[in-house]
Amino acid sequence: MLKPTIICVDDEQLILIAIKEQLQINLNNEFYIETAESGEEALEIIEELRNESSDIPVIISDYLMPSMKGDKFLIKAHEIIPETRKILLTGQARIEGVTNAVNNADLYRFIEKPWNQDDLILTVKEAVKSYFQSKKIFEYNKQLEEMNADLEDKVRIRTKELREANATKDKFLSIIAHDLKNPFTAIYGYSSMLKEDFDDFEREEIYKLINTIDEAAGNTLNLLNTLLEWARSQQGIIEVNKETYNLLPLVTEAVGAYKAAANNKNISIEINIPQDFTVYCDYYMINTVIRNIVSNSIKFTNPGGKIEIESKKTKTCSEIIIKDNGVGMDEAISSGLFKIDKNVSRKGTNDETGTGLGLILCKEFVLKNGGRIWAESEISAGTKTTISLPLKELFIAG
Amino acid sequence: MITKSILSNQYESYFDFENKDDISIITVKILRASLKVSLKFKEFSSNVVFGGEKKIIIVMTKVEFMDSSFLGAIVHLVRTARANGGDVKAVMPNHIQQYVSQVTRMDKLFNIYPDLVSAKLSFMFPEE
Repeated sequence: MLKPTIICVDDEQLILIAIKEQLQINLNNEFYIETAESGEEALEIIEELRNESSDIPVIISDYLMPSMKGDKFLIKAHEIIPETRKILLTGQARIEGVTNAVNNADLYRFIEKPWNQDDLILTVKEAVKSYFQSKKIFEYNKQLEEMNADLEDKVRIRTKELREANATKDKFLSIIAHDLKNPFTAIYGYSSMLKEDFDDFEREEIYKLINTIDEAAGNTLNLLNTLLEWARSQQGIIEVNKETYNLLPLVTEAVGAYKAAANNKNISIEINIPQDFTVYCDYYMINTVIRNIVSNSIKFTNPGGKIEIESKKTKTCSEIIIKDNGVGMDEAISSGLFKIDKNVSRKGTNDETGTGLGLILCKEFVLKNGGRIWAESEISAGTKTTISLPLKELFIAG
Repeated sequence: MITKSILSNQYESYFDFENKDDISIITVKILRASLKVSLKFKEFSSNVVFGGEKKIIIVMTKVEFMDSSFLGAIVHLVRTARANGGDVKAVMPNHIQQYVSQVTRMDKLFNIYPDLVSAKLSFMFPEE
């Protein structure tokens, strides 16, 4: 690191020699001593030193110089290096000159000529100390500001996390309040009716009531299973076990669970995936994701509609595309999909119930697999959902 | 009134001192009035002022070169003397007088005379 430099400015060479000698001897050669015979020359030296990133702790300047007076020079220097301590060394400075330097160049000290050597050295030493202390304080402040900014970022991130957690909790409560309470009310209401008025019902009516109770219980169980999976995912206790799987059997198995529901609405499901198409993923998670998307497509496709499942390979990903020709959705709804803090649940074409939780779970599972999920939709035209999973080679390459 | 005894060994090679008719005359004996001498002059002239002398004449006719530090010492003397109710006149050769008046414009701070007689007269018959 470069030694700090003290700059001395005086139009009299002999004075410069004397100052330089005194400083060199008494400051143990710890500083470079640069001399200049005019303010202009000194400003050039300052510029050079600044280009070399050299410290200039002190400038000592004469007042009375032929072209640029000491106060003017110090003011100019102050504009360039405000942190440098400036000393005016003169026997003839007018009070206005000194005042000017004090007010506009933050003059550190005024020393009269002829100066007392001890006084000059002590003043310079104090000025150097003061300069480096200020520099240290400036650096500490900068560090503090950086730490503060870092802390603010952390607070911002944490606040966002807390907000999301709060939204999650709200969602949870809303699901429990509405979607869990409603089927239970149905179960409780119909079972009470059966219990109280069993003999008043016809056999066919009893069968209908039991069917309704069974359907409500089935929905509740599905919802509870989803909630439990989601809760486990939230707690981070689900492990991601990725392996290479053939996509076709994975999709076939996932769709199988909804064959009956699709048949009930006369919706056809076409799977157009090559036999050898593979994906690198956690089987259980992606199976859950496909089930949820297919279930949604069935829910929002009119009877007689169609669902197509395709696959596509890009340079970096394997994509699973689930398309339906259902009712679609507008921008307001589609932009809120996969977001925990937006409530986008709506009833299906046959009044099927939904919570929006399934899609949130899908997003979590896809993210845990390093992938992305998104939906494109148009009202009355249908919805296309894409699950994009990185190729295995990318994970191996790191 | 102080006497010539004020001149100790450390000053006598640089300056002469005499006091006559209530006027103190400090004669600078060296040719080059620079930093080292100016410090001596500052000390010495302070002793003269604090010794009670009011009318002081600095004679620099032998001086060939004077730097800003010596001029600073003169300025210091003028200010100290005036603060103590006195005044200072200077006798300077032309080239020194020119430096003082043209470069530093300090001739406005104290009066400069070409010879000792004129300086003495200015004390004896001050201008109104």
